[in-house]
Amino acid sequence: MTLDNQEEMRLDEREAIDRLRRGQIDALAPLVRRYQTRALRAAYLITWDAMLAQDVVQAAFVRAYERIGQFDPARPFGPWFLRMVANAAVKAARRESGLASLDAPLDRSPDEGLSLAELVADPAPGPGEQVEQRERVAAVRAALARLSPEQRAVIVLRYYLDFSEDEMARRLETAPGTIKSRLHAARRRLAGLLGGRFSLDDWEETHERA
Amino acid sequence: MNERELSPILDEIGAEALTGAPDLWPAVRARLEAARRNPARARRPLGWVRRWAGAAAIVLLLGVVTTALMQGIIDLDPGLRGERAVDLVTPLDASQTRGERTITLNWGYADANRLALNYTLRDAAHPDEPLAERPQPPSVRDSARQPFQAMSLIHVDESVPGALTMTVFYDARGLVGAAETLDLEVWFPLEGGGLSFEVSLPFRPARLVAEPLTVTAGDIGMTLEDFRVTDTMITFEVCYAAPQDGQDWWPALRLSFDGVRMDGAPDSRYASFLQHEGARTCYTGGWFLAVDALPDEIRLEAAYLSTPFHWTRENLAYIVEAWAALGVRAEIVPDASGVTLSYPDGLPGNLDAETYDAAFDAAVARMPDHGGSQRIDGPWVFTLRP
Repeated sequence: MTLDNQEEMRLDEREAIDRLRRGQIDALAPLVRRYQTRALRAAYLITWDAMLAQDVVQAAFVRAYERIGQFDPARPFGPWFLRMVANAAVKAARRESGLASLDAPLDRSPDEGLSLAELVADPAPGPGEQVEQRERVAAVRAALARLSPEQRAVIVLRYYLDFSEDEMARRLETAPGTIKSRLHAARRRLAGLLGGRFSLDDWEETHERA
Repeated sequence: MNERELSPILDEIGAEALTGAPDLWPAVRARLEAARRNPARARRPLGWVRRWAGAAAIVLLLGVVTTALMQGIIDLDPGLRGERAVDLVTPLDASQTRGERTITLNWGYADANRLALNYTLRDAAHPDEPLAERPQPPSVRDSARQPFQAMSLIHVDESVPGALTMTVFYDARGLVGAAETLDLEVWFPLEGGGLSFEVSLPFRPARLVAEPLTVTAGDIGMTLEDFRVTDTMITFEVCYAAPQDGQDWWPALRLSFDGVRMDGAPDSRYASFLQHEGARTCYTGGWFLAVDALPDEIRLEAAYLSTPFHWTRENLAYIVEAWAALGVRAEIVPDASGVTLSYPDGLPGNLDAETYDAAFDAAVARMPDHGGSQRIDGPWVFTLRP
């Protein structure tokens, strides 16, 4: 995307937000269509439930409309909204856990390594890179499923929504040390669940130094 | 694996799980309208799912399940409930398998207001565990390949390990005049592809489709554009020329059959929404009701039009007080972007709409300046004699 396009998008966004602040509901439509895909995927990655993710994101857009007066229009809408989605997704996942047994797989040993059979749902042969990528996706999917919603949330905020640790702390109103600790624990858990099949060492070392 | 590799993998996992995700705007708009009209109801996340799932679990604990067909229609909305539902639905009992996943279409139902599909997903890889994730509801098209929009409610039963039974509803109001049998294609998105079923359901036509009718109160005319009654549901659309002041004006509607109020139980009301069509405002909604025979007189009354009150801690305190008087514990709690109401003990299922509406209206009336809410009194009364 060019800078011109980015600027154009930001202007469109500002106009939509100005209209929202004047109570025009339909001004939310372009923001929904711009952010829904990323928000849905982030919510799903935290809740691990496609229907719940849709519910969370729909509700978050409603909340965004209702609270638009508290939004600083000088700042980008995306991080403000996606933080709201992440918070709501964690709450929803915890609330629904009694129904969805979201945490049931955690009864296994926390750092239990998974066999390749578990990691790879469909080990059909194919070009090497493609198979490897599918294995990675399957492995990460299986590992994420065994994290708690809170652990998935910090992984999603940091590595999917690209929040810095400081930004996460600020937006989640949590001490930076707490965020760092949660992120560290989530990364360790994820690495343990990946069972050494895919090393997270490089990734961890990079962030441990940061 | 490093950070750069993880991000696209997360994106891919999200994309796979949400294949065919619909445009959220219509649903968001409907929820926004509902929240502005009636925040206490609109803010119950997955209220239907939770209540129904709980009810189903209770029934299973009591050992009331009698036949496979009964599973999933034990305690749905008043229109599709219990033995009555058994008589209405069509057993399908069609199964297909892809990989470790097997989907069984248990039963279906179709009338001029809605379709209902009940199905069970089983995972052979984890036969004794709850399913780790819930898939998207299936997409449904008729023989002309016209898609049906899913309604924003789903019944979920996870009481059997390794199986997830769901009932999904679809808006069928475009089907007036449909043939006696409805041929449908039902497509389930699954990882790496999907499963397609072709099913035929008997179509139950509307018991009543009213002609448009206009009444006037004060200087505002209101038209009942659409009103249809089926065996399991009543839907309506009313349009009116609300003040052009940039605000949303909601009608306070009451439905009665032969003088008996029908919009009583909280679980009978279907999500409603407001749309602006030029200078007109149109309000669409409905109720889930068992209608075995038409009454002599149907009365739909819009008692007044009002704008939503402002969602502040001060105004919510009045709502909390109103709920407390009804024995419902509510708390004002901060959330990610302001304040919201929380119901630590849930909402009672036996709280009828008349009591709720009266308490809500009284609370708003006590707010300074009605909490920012404005009101135009009617009533606008539509009387139908089928």
